Amino acid sequence: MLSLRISASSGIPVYLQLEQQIKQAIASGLLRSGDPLPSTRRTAADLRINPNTVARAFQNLEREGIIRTVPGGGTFVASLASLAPGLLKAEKLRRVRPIAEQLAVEASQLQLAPADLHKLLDAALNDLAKSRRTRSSDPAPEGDQ
Amino acid sequence: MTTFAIQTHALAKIYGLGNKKVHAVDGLNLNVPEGSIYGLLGCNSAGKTTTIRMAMGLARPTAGEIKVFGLNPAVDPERVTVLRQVGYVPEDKMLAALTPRKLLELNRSFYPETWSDDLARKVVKRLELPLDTPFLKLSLGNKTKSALATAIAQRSRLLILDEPTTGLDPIALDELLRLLVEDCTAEGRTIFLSTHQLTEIEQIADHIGIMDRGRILLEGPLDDIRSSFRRLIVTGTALPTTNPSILSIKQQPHATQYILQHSPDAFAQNLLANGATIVESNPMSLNEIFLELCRTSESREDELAREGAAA
Amino acid sequence: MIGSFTISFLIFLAPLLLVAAWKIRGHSRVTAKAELEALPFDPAQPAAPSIFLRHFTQPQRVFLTQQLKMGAMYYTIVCWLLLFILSMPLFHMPSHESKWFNHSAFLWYNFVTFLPHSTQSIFIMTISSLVFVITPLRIGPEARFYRSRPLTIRFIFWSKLLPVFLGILGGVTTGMALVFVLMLAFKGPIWHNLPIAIPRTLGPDDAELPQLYRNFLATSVPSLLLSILTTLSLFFTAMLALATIPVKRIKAIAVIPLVAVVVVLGVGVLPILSLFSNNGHTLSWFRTLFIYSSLGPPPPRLFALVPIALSILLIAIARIFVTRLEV
Repeated sequence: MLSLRISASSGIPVYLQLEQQIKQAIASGLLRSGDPLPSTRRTAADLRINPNTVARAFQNLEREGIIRTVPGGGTFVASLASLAPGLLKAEKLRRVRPIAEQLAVEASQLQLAPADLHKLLDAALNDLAKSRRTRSSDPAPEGDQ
Repeated sequence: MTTFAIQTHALAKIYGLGNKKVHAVDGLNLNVPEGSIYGLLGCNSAGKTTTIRMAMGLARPTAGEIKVFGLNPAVDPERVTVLRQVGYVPEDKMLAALTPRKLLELNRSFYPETWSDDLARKVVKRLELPLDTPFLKLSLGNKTKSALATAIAQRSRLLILDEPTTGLDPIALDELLRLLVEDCTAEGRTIFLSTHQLTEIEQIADHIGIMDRGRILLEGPLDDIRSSFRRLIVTGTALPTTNPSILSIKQQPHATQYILQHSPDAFAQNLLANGATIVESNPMSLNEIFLELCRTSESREDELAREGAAA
Repeated sequence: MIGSFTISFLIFLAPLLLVAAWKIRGHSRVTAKAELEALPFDPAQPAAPSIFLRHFTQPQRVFLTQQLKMGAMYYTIVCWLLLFILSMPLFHMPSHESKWFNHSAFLWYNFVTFLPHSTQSIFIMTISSLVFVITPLRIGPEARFYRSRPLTIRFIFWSKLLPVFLGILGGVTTGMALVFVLMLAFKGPIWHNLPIAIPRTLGPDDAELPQLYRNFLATSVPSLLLSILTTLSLFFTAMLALATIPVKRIKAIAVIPLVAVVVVLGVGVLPILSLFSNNGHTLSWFRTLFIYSSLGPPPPRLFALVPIALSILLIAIARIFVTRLEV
């Protein structure tokens, strides 16, 4: 079902990797609204990582409204239709900023021109849209518009 | 208010007499929070096993104190209260019974309140432990598996593992990690493990302590430690050489490499503000942090020794 | 003489070897079957505790049961040892009968002189108990295991010491009592009505005989038994105290020279003792320690208190040592 891959020594905090991969899965349609997520303990055991780390990632995701826990057990992907308007644009930008900064650093180290970088970003967005369209006829989940 | 599963204060253990004194543990301040998975790492002859033996009451401190759940593990009757709540895998994996099955049956009777037969069966199955092979015929890996099964099935409040990966093949190692996370962390239980397997520690530990020559070099939450260390490669003039943030500096032909140990962002901002260029800025894996700390500590010791000799 | 000794030794070993072989065979059959079947871990529920053991916690019960079994084993072996050796004169007579004149006296004389031989074997058994029961207080995986289970050090110490110590002493006493019963049953009370003087004419090779006979008459078997018990006790507790001296953690292999010394002492106890006793005049310190090892009048029974007091002291010392031991 959901295959997450965590690298503990990559330098990116594990909880952040988890959050990013779950968001990625939602963005690419692998996870849809209402899909159940395995429990904190199960996820930790499957990935062989600390349960507190998973708990932290899940808490962050829940705070951002991306997942929700049902009292009595169970964690589910939130209904994303309600998500997008609930988040201010500033909040969305704030979330994406660290990745943008990292991209900027890497690009400047490699001495990539800003124009090349923009082209790269456009290509990535197009690929994502393409993969969404080739999936089933379900309505595509909200992306950053 | 955090409680600590294990806490030491200026703990010391000295062996031998006169000139031949060995300070196995030398002013150790260790803090293992309850409910954490704490990885104890050590440079050469760091004193990890000696510390663990003192936590189990198998050795007595020469000075300082060590407390397990706030109790003294070396003196009865507190000692028995401690041992009732601790599972232990020693460094030496010799069995105290004829076969793994007999060892499990034996250990079972010592922990009637917490032992779980189901968990024992689960561990045996997952680790593929041959229950009836006589211990003389057991491989080192199987001896380790026996010790692990025996300790894990106790479902203790604190699980102390001294080199729990000896002789384990990669599959068994992976299963062990899964078991530790799945079955040994519920209900606020603590895992304290001492190992050389840094990759595995980096995965499951949330706290680590690095020991060298009987004392702590660095201790704290793993995430905090990882975010405090950074490797910078910088070009520029009049680059700083001393700064509390710097762990080590290495001059390369056309640049300077800094290994930073805290506030890396502030340091980097400072460099940029003074006109330097940061060519590369990378986080460090636990392995790299560990190696760098050990190397620095060792060269510092050598320097002190040389100064001492020259004086 | 040698041939008959070998036969007797074999008869002695036979039941022990048979029991041991039967147990080993049964055990290896069970193990081989278990390895083949690879049954899951499914332990039997522990049986309800007996009245005596009910007062202990379950961990204590498990440990104590093991030690009691060891104690019972030593009791049985020592008892059998004594029974066997001391009843040899009843059923098998050495050939010096011609030297003697009175069947009862000869029988009794053989009985009395066989006691030292039995002492040697008992000392060997005691040494084995020290190696297998006492040294695991501090050396080896067994020691590390039990020291890291919820048992007080005090409990571990007494459980390891008392069953085996009392087992050996009890075995000696029971063995001798059984021999007496046998003797009474087969030959009657031969120690009564022994002739006061040798009733035959003495020849030229019988020069030492009168003195030997006088010593023989003065020998007190109850004192011999008491002396064996107190000397054994002293030896055992001295080795116990030695074994528990808290020095830096000892590796099992470093103990071998120490064990070798102890073995030599125990096995050579007879030659060593005979070295010290010249012609029945025992040294004064043998007398003080109530070591009664040759024919002749016994030391005053009061001196038996000396080794008993020393043994108690040594046990107390070992008890203190054990708390400071690093395993």
